Amino acid sequence: MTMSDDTRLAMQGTIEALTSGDGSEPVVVNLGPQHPSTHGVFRLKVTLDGEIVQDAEMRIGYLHRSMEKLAEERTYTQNIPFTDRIDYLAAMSNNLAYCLAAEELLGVEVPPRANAIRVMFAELQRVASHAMANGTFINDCGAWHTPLFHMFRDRERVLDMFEMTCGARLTTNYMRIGGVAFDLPDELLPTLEQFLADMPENIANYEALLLENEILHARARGVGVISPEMAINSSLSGPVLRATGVPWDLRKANPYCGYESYEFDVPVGEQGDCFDRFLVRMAEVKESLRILRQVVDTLPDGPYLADLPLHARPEPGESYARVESPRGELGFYLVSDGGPAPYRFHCRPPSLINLSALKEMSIGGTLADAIVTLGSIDIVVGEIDR
Amino acid sequence: MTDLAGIGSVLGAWYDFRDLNNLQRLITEWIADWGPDWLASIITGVLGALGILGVIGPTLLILIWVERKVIARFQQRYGPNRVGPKGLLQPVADAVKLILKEQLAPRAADKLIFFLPPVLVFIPGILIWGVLPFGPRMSVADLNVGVLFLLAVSGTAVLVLFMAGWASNNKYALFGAMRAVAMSISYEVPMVLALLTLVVFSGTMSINGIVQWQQQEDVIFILLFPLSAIAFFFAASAELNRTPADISEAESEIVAGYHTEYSGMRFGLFYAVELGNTLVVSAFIATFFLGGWWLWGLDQWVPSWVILLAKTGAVYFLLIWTRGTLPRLRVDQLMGFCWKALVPATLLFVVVAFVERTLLISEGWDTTVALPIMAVFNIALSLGAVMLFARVARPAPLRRPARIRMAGSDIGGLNAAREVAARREEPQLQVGGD
Amino acid sequence: MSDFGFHLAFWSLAAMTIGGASMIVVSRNLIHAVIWLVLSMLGIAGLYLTLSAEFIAVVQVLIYVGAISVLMLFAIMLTPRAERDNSQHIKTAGPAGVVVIMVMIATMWVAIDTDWGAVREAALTEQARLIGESLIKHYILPFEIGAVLLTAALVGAIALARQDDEDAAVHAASLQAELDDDGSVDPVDVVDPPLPTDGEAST
Repeated sequence: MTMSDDTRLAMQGTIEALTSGDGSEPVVVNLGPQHPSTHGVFRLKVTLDGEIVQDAEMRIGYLHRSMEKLAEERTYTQNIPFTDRIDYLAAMSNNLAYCLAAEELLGVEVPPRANAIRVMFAELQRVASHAMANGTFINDCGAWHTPLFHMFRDRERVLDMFEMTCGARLTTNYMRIGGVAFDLPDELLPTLEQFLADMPENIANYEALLLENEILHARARGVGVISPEMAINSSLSGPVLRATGVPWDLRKANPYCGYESYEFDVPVGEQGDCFDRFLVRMAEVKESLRILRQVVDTLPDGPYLADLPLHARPEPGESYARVESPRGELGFYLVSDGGPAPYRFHCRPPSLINLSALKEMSIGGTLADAIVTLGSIDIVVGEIDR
Repeated sequence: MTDLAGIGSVLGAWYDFRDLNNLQRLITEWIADWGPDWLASIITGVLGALGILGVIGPTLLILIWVERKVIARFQQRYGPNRVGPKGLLQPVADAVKLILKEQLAPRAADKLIFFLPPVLVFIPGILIWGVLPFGPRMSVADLNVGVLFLLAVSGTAVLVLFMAGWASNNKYALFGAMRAVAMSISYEVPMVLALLTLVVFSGTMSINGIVQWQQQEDVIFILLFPLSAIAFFFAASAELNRTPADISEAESEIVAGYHTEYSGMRFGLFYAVELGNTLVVSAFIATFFLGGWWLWGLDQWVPSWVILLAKTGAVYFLLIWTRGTLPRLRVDQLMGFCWKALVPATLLFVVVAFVERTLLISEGWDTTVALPIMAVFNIALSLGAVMLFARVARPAPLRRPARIRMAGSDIGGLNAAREVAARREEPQLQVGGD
Repeated sequence: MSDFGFHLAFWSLAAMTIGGASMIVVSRNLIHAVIWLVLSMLGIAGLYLTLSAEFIAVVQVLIYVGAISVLMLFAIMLTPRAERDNSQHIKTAGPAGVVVIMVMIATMWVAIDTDWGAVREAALTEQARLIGESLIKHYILPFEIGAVLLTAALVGAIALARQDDEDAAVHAASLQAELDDDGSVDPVDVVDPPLPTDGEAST
């Protein structure tokens, strides 16, 4: 009697499993590109032994829109809307980093009021982005959307302020080379005052709900740990780096837009696990509110945009500008050949580089841990794929 | 009180809506006059089943609305408010949508086993209602092994989940099914032990008997065995796949678990049964631990089934509340919690129940004096057990507090990190730890 | 209950039990076999109910449907795929069939020969209490022996489950030998052709 092919194949699989040592066959599971927890079209291919992650492979490129190549065909000003769409959850920071790079290339002096407005919106963006990051992180830990919706309420108010100022909520296209597109509308400052007055109570509520939550501790403490050495070697940045205890923040280390004149602190964690990342983000929101308070109090008068020809042609050369975006070090590298469009446009996306440590963090944990770790890194797939 | 009791016994005609059993008894007697025995038992059985289905169907539709509305309020939203008055018709619209949707089946699915579960899952979900006492004489089948029947029927449900997950030929579904089975088997143990406590203490396995015991002794079981009640509540929420124990359909991990591949009304059936099970579990928690249809004499005034429904609603709200608040535990943590915490705790109270029962029956202690003392003792013991567990069984990473420090002027790489970490002052934020 | 209802229940449950049992033997897929077994068990539980043995019926569902069958499914899931399905070449099928038929004949003979008159009495109430009392009072020794036996089985199962590498190697070798004995073509070459080599062009 001969066996069927199926039986033979299966028997060979068994033999392999028996001789491989642990007597079990690993299972490959694709998380994504369509999966509730991959925060966009990102694919994580995990090899599981039971529920333990043996290997994790990241597959990216599902959202690739060829931004860097497209930008070489447009003038410096026309490129600003592209930067919105790179990191759509922190459009202001991306606008800012690109404008800083272009200004360095063009040698433009930015008026003080424009700088203050830039800081204001960059910090508002950080509050909004961290609200999203922490909310979805708790969701990845399995909460039924409650913290997410509460934090979305704060984000909503920030987006309302964006809309008030520049007409758009997500893809703001607000910063310009040499300043910002519009001056602040009259109703913005009272709205911001109200926001600053309400936020401490909201944050206290989140802390009361989440900080001592035993289940959250059990899910996030000691999970996705990375050492400070490894974090630096992987060139991580942002809250993921600071959670390991490394006090590195570009707003302090390499100040731009007058950050050196504001008083704020850099929160750092200790263990480098998911919970520390969450705590660092919570603390950073408070620091951002501190900066916002000072910006509102010391907002200078004057022009909000430098005088600049519509189609500026920089001298041949190159520039690199970086800012501390909510996700980490966001850099733009521009090369000019003297023409109206950049010869080379390159973005250093913090999400992509932070994501590279996911494998290191998730191997040896369970599948559920890998999801929580992915959530704690706070990726934006638009930024990873560009 | 005596007058009221008198009224209770005088009435009993079919129009006494406090006990719907009166109506059924009338029909039974009428049929028995002219028909054979088996016709009467079949017709009353069908009537009971129709009564239950007639209650469950509309209740489920309302419950979907209630749950969505309450969760929405937890989340600072309005919830459904477009279809019908206050969005009440939203579940109907959803059901119509689900019925009209295409029913997909994976090509590699095991066809027969794939199609069966959405239907089969209804059987235990409906059967379980049969032994629920809505009133002193109001249950379709007042079995004298009612507690066992409840456990047996709820135990079969897991088989259906396994069939669904296995036949889908999908890794997420299989993961969900394996998790559901593993968890269900584990959590049945504390559930059984928690109910065993009541059975031992009240000396009956009839569910109505347990309620009547609480009525006779004027005490509800949650006061006597609080830890068993909490264990039962948690084990039940685990069996129901609700957060914090919804690992078998953990959305953020395995998409939808065992019903990932089910679309349209097949998914709708799973959803409906899950909701129905939540309701029936709330009803059983109310029955076992909160006195069921009895409420310190109020059941003479108000129909007993209204009291039961009110208590059920309260427990159901508690289930929604935990779902809306808590994150989810991991698989191993959930299993660990079951075997390391719930099983010993419930086992402890089985022994306590044995001892106290012996004191009451063999030593002849006076219940009016002994029961309050026992309640106080058991509550203290429960608190002690919980505190001991919190101290002993905490996993290692949780024993250290998580700290956030401020970098101040130290900005840089590893050296700066060491300097910040070596600071002596209190950290800005410190949470957790022992 | 009158004769008609009793006969209806008995014959439908008997058909369910025997039909399910036959399907266990016939079905090739072990998972299907377990599900047929569940059907058969439910039929038996129903038969107990017709005998007014509520307690036994409920326990039958609780233990066999709720626990044993789930355990079987688990065992099947944890078994490597090759050994999961009813094999096509069991050499002992003939003798095993003979033994099973002999056991069946013996059981039926006992069933027909015994005088079952005592059970025709009125249904017992409080069976659980009676069963419990007789287990603790009259049959305490067999009860305890059963408990010890089960514990021993549990320990034995754990010992067996901890398969070490040598056992695994022996097992693998026996499977390999079985594969080698088999005359058919190695399916790996058939269904898994070597990948086309497109060199560096794709990178």
